Amino acid sequence: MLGTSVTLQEHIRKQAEHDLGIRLRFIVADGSDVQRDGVMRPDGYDLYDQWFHSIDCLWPARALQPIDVRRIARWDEVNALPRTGRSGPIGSGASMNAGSVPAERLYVQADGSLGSTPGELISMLPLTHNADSFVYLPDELPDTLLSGEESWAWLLAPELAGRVALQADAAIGAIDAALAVQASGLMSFADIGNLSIEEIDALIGTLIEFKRRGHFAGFWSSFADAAQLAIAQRVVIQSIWSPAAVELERAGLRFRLACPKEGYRAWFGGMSISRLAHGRVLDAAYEYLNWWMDGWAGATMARQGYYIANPERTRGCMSDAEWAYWYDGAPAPAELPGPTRKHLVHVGQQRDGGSYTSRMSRIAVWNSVMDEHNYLVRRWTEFMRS
Amino acid sequence: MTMTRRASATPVVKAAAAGRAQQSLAGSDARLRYRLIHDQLKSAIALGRITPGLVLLEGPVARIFGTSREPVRKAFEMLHAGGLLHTFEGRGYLAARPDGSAAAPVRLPLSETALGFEEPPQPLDTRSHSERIYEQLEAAISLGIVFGHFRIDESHAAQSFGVSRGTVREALSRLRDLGLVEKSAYSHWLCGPLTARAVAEDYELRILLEPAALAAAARVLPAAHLQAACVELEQAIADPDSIDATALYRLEMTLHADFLHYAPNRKLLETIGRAHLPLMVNHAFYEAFKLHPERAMLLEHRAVLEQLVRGDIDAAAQRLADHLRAGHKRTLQRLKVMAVLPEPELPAYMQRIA
Repeated sequence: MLGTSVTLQEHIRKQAEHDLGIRLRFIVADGSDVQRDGVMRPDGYDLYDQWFHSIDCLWPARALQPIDVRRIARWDEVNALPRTGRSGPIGSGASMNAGSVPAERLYVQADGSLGSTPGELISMLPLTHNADSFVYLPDELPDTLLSGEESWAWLLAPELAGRVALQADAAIGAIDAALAVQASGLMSFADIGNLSIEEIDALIGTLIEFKRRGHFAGFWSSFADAAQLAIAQRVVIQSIWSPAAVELERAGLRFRLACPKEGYRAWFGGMSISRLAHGRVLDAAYEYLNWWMDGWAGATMARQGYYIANPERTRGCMSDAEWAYWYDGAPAPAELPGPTRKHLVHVGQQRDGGSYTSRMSRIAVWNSVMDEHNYLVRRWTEFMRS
Repeated sequence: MTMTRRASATPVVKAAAAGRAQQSLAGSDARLRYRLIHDQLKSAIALGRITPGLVLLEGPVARIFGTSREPVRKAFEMLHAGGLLHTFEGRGYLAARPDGSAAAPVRLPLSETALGFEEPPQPLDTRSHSERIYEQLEAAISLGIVFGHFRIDESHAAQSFGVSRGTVREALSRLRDLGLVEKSAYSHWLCGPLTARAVAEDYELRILLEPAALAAAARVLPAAHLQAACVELEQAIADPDSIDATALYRLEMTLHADFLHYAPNRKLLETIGRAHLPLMVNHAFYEAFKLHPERAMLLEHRAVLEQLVRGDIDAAAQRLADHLRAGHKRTLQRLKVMAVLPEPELPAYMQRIA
């Protein structure tokens, strides 16, 4: 199993081995290494556990085999968001289409390419997802910012120079940066999920200027690094993934996950099967995929702030209090456990951003592999090295 | 800064450029070269003349044989398949023991003696210096632009080829005519990076021009040539696994270069040749992933040939346009994949700007 630390966690591995009676080996790497090995070494893994947008790299390289949904017992429980790109009441219809929308790369079409026309073969089983933004320490931010609405522009606010961090992955970090640059009024993009060459050049130019002025304190590629930046490096605002917030909680920091007025950057994770998996290994791969949809995995994901593609099934594996807090966005009616610990959430604590529906209906853009992705990656690397 | 990489020296351009040597990029010549390299290394390993475990790298071995890296790579692959080279946790291959078993890596400077030759092998390439340098520069630059934006150091290149700067300058000027490199205001040679837009522009041009060229060519296309292409294509469809990147490139060239070449309009052909960058991207892609062709692509080719056989020229031109539109989509997808590839070893005269 090849993937990132987001889902490849020891307690999950043990539980799955126990439930399924199979042996699992987790190969954990950072996002871009996972994609590279996913593309280049399909002989090195049986299951690939990552984000939908990375399918744009794996599928044309024929690293994967289609998943037959007839072998996924709970396929019909998967909610509409990954299947059609729509989830309940959508705030802004047009913005749902920005970036690499999962539904547009889900189904295997007759000619072998991927598209949104439903069929029985899919590229990736949609599982974990969330709408991300940034985290900030309200005690450290000036009132000039706090008195206004939360905005991606804060990441570039001059008042916070030297205390800002971004994530290092181009497909994700560049979008956070683009959201910030656009919200600051420095640039505006025709399609923030699919930047043109000129837009990429201007974006990178702007970011390099900020970097030279010492605006950024660091760049992270795993949530553990992100947490360390806030805990040890005096970073007061940064783009963030949910598990890092658990670490901040543990470190006793007072923080908020922003609900930016411009909307969230959303992502959908899932699992795919290596082209080379066959026989008993393939059967075991399907068993593991099915196990993920049985509820237990969805519950442990919820306890670190992530949603699962078939939430109703997971509800049965969570207490009512947990469901109210994690999915409904209500104040915690009782003290709640974390993924591996007894106490994470205090009574009365409320999740930033509200309910599942309210978060997922405020998507500004999905994580993206743009048309000019290759160009973006080269220019982004230049920014990282500058 | 963005450069639009527009062309490459595909056979169409070469044929169209009056007075230039006409040679096939992937002709029998290259096949012969990798065979020779394979045979020589094979006997040297089998006779125990190469230290077991010696780390063999494409670049140095190519220099010893006086050839490009392509045939060396191919020879290495064959030796590996034959059990005389082993892979290891590092770049290159390890020479096996004479009995084929693996030995621990031994890193030595690669020389004629290290490869077990009593005397330096005759350079396999008999083409003129400038022609060879031109092709090596073209190959290195075509690959490099996928991975970024480079400056080409003229004097460094002259040194590494062992020729004058004038010779290198001449080759680079020819590549500039093709749009592969450009010269900055400070007289620096620059190339790359390759963009989706450049690929899209090439396809737009090809969709406009190739059907027209095919229609003109079809009237004079010899039946025997068409017949041979049909046979080759049917073999590929029947056994796609037999088609490696080089063979696939041949198939593409048959349709998009050799056939069109029968059209009488030289300017038209020259322009088309300058839009053949996508063929290079696809070649690099298939080579990098050791992939066999997609059935859809082969069937699109068949659809064109079938109409040509029937003598329906308009329908053939139409099928060609369909094929190019589908190819456009596939090539853009492949370009995205290139973003995750580790950077290949590029010659030192290519200096990264970004």
